Amino acid sequence: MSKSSARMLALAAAMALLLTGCDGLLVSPGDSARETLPAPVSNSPAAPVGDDQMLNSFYAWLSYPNADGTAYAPVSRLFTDTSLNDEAFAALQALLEGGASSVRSPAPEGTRLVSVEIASRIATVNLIPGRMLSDDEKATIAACVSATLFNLTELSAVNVLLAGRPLTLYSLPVGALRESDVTSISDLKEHLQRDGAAARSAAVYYPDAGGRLVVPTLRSLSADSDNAAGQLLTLLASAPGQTGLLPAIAAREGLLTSPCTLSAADNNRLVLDIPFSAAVYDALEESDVSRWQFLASVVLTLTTYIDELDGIRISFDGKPVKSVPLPDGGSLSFENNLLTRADFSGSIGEIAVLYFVDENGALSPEFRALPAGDATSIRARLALLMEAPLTDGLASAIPDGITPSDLLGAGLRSSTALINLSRNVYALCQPLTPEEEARFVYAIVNTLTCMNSVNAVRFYVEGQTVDTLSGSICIKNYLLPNRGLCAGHTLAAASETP
Amino acid sequence: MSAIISLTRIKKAAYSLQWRFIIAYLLIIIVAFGVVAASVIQLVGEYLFTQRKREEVRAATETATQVVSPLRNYDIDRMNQIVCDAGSALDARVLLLDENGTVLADSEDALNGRRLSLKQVANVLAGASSDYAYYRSEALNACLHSDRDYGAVTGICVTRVISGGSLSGMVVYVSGAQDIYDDLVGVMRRVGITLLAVFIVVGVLSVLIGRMFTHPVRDLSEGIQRMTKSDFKARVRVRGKNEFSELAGAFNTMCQRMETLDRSRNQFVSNASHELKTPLSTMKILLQTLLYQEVYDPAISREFLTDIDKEIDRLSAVISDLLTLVSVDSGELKLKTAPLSLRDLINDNVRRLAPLARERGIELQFTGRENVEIVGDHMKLTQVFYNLIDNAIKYTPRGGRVHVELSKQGKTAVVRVADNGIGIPEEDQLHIFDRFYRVDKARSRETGGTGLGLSIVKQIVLLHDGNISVSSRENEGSTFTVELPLLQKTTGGKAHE
Repeated sequence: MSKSSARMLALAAAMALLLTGCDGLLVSPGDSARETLPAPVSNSPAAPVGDDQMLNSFYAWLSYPNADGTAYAPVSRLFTDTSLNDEAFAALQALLEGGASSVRSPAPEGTRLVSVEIASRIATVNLIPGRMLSDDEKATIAACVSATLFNLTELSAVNVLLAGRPLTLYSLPVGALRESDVTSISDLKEHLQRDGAAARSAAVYYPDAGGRLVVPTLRSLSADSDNAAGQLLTLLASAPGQTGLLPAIAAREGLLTSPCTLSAADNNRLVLDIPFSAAVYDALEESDVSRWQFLASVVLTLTTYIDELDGIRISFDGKPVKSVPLPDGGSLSFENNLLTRADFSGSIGEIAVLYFVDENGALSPEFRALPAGDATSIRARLALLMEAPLTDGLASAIPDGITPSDLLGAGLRSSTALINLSRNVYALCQPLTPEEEARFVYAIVNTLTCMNSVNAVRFYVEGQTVDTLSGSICIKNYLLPNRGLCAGHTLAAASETP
Repeated sequence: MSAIISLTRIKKAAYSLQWRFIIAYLLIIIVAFGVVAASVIQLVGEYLFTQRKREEVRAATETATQVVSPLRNYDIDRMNQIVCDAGSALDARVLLLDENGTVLADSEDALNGRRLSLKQVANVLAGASSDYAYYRSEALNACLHSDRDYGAVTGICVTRVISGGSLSGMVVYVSGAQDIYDDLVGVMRRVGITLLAVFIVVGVLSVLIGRMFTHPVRDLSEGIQRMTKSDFKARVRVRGKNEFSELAGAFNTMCQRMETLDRSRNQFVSNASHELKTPLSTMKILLQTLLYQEVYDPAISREFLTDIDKEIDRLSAVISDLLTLVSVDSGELKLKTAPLSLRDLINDNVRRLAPLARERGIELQFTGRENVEIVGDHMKLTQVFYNLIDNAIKYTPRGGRVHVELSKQGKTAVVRVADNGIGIPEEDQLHIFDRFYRVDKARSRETGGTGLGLSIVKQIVLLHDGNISVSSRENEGSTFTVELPLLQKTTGGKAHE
């Protein structure tokens, strides 16, 4: 090959390299993105051992009345080692006791707090005043109590009872107060005194599908109606608007033989007579609600709203109701055929959302009523998760062999639920696939974060934090709910309240 | 056969100057264009990737700012809303991680609870404020448990979420970068098409320009080929005013001279042939007459034989002169030079020709007072001056005068031979020294000339580094002037052999 030919060939090769090398001018994408991360660190609090009564420390804003009684004079106060169930009671107790010299109690001296019941984000506060109160004083108490509770926790409404009787102010029932009603004391008074077809909110208690409890929901009705009982009974016969609840009775014409009447009974007690016709039996059978639940719904609903009502006398087809069989096999008798709120207050429950696995492997919620006490119990909810669901087509995400005794401790710290599991749980979770592990972990997390005071969950095994249970889900740090595992999920959070 | 011919033509074409020129042009353009194109593509690619990186880092940083509060408050719904909105805005997948790299929120709801074991996450955990990289999509999809179609290349951006001065989480953006590659491929394709178009245009232009350069060469080559076939009329077209036009002009001049020389040579051969043939013809006639005379006449025989003898002498003289000229032309003539006295040489010649001059009734005079010494060939210079003086005597009528003058002019010896004879017409003066040139052929023949004398005189003078010229007027006479360099006594002048 001549020199010039060799030169030409070399030049052509160089050109070819140059042109083909253009492809290499682009940024070269990497082939491997994996890299082992450093071991996770956790600033977890100490693991709970046993149920520590979910003692919590919190700040509460107590809404005292100002000097002229038209607005609030809020004062922040720290409460330590207070059980979650007792937060509201402790805050209201402090409110009634009064604060520093610059603030005064909204209630007269001697006023006693009897109970605070919170179910389905509706609080019912029962006070016994130290003396007779004017409407303005009653309005001030109602406003300050309600505002304090709204600042403390997420509530839909507050019922204030004086000596167990619903409030009536300015000749109209107060009903359940919403947060917008109590922006200030003067606003509440103005709202309560407004003429016209003023609307009120009432806690209507519906039976749960489990047949054991009644759950309050907030409904609207007209305040100036003479037939408040009729309106409430109509609402009880309508759809509750929340999953897991049933109408108290099937809607029918002629359920009452005559209108309900108020009368004075012995000891100046105000009593409402409700004469149900024989049709009530068929209506109850149609609604698949037990008589006990029906009576509880009617009594609790009416005695929470109708002004100064002490009790109710109910008759079925002219026969007074003297007793009713209970779900556990016992029987409840009513003295002097008078049904009171106290007879059924223990049956008030709250809807809890429990997550189970559906046929497609997604987490599907089951709405189940829990007694008010259990509603704030982490252990109670986890125990229900370990049981079979009530809904067909769902299954527990908890592996077989795990029992409530494997929950060594449960606690709440700064809105984070702490779950201390046994080594048995860890061992039983080892064979889980990544999907099964995710379902197990998030069935618990999604369930517990549906509780009002819980936003996150931390897991422990035998008091120690671990990286994972079977290799996929990192539980070293806190966990937030996973909406993606829920069947038909959207970005909106699953909520326990309407 | 045709294949062999084609191969031959290809090989010939491969070596041709035109094709080499074309290839050289194309290579220069391609190399230059290729370098520029590669640089442009690289710059564009870097710009596009950098822009994309900046855009995503900015978006990720903005998202990181938005999630600070919901992260602190464990507000999962707000976090989900932010990551979904952020992902929709840039058609990307967005994940929110805690401070350990565990996924808290995922716009695709696939990796919640899992640690994202990626290099970029590790880098941010190690302290970087953000990190960005491109990966092949199948590699990244395997890490992200995703089958989303990002194209061939995916970009990932990780930036930290700071709350209270410490790392509280990370925001991860995952988006396809295939559009950038597609854009770059488009640019490369356009560059390639442009390169092809440039290649074609340059190819055509280089062919045209090549022809501009090679046509003159080809014309010259054709001209030379014609000249080798003795076609001295061949001329090359002169194009423009450049080196090629100068070459063409020089070639045409050369052809002109060669044509003239060829013509002169032909003329010379013709003349020589004629000069040789003439006495032979005359001798032939005389001999035939003698051979075929019926009655032998001794007087006529003697006359004819005398004429034949003269012709033989003439022929011999012509041949001798021709041989002399040939030896001069070929450079074989060697001068036997030596210092000599020019006055004495001329004086000798004058003395030798004095009887002829007396016989013709011509006054012959020599003027040479100074002793002029030159370096020369005595015999050849004798031939020169004998010839000049002889011609002057021959071409001067009875009663005329021939004057020979020797003088010095500077470093030159000047000899003038002047007569008042018939003179030389002006148009013949230019050719008087040409071979076989005769002003009056008939007279020359009578005087016994060969027509080569002045040619030989001029050659000999030129060999002595001298010069000869003539000035003449018809019927008034002619003056032949010979200039020769004087002997340089002081310098070490070489003695010519």
